[in-house]
Amino acid sequence: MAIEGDMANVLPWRVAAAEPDWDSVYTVELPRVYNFFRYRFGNDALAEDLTSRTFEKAWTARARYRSDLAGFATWLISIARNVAVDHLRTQRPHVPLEAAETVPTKDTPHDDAARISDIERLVALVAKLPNREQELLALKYGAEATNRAIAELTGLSESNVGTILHRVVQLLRHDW
Amino acid sequence: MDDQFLRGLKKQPPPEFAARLRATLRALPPNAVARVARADGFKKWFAAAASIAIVGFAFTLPPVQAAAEAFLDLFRVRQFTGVAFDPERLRSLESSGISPEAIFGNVEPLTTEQAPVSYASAAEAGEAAGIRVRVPTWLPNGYSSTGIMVSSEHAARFTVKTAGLQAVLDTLGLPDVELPEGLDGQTATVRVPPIVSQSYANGERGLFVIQAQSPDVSFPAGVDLSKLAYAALRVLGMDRDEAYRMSVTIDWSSTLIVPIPRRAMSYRPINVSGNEGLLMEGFAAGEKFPGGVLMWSDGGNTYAVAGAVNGAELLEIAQTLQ
Repeated sequence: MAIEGDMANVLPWRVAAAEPDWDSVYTVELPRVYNFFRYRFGNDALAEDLTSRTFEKAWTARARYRSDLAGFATWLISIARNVAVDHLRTQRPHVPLEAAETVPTKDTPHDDAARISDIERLVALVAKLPNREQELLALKYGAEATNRAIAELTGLSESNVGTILHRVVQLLRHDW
Repeated sequence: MDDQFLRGLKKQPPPEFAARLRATLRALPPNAVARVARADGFKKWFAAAASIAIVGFAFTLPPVQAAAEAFLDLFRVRQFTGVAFDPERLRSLESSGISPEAIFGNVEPLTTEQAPVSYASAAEAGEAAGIRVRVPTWLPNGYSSTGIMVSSEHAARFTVKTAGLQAVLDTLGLPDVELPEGLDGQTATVRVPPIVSQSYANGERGLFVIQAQSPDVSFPAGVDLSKLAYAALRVLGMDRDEAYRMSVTIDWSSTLIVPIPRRAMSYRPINVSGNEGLLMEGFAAGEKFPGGVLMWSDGGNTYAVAGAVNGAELLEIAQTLQ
């Protein structure tokens, strides 16, 4: 019963913002959204599926885009974040936590290394971290968001974002 | 910070995927969507409000009748009553994992979703919608027409799931509202006729005049509407005494409950050319300008004027419709 959302829809008295150039948006933003999901879930097929959902939602909701509130890229990534949350709600974690304990390292025999891609290996390592850290990493390195943009998206301070990411990168580099 | 190992894991989306998605987006309905979001929102709003009414009636159905009666009674909107609610209260339902689907099961669409259509004149739009469209003869300074759109009729059938309803009551702590037996699986139908939306703009400020035949909800005969209303009012957060008082003094066969976010909007009943309407003023969620909505019914049609203007201006627009 999302009444608040529906109420918001019936009360829009602002004229719709001018639409972005969707061809440009598509070309520039598709890789960012796609890689956000790859860094988040480590699965290319799933990344395609969730990227499609994100762009379809953005396309159908484009009348609500507020150029005075957020850059378009930030708006699009905020939709992607919601899509990711919806996915997590409806699915078991893509990479079970236990899998992190058996993640191959660079010393793993060649056949093991061949079975798991670098991105899957990363996501398995990241699975040991809290959900917030996992998302920050995907925003930073998958979506190429700046610390400031991440701060706007997550409600954290910019310095806090930087501190958390620094700590996460140190941890990951140690295990990589 | 040496993070090169993280930066090197990106890759370009496969070209076939990029092309397929681009084609999918291009096949979605064209630009009309942007300007008609208002009319669509109006439809959604009615659907949400009607859903609340359905939640209410579902509490009140006598079990004997529930098993046998056909859909005989019809609820038609002629008046509105505002009820303030705390969005956090309903958010607690979501955080508890209770969704509309949990209550109504699969909503069965009875019509096919169609993109709204733009018309050159109110007469043409009215012909498409099957109503005589009334046009404002007065507008606040600076506003001019930007178009007129008609959305298609929408209808859906809901099936009540008592387990979901009980979860709502439990989550909200409403032991005074009891669910009757024999309710599970009962259905109700909501019909929202075509909606005509006239839009106006003054820079970034928008203004909308919306008109439709009154939406209706059909439901099994014998429903005690005052109990229905009591349940709905309690779900929205009204205290027992006030909910009871309202439930027994209002004609619920023609009155629609309008949930209004507490603190964000003020509201009051108001007379619009001899008809009792509901005026809401304040800041809607996400809006840049203050504004308001005036809703009323007249001669079988339901109207709304919404925009970034004050209540007196909304009333002036409403009273000059011809």
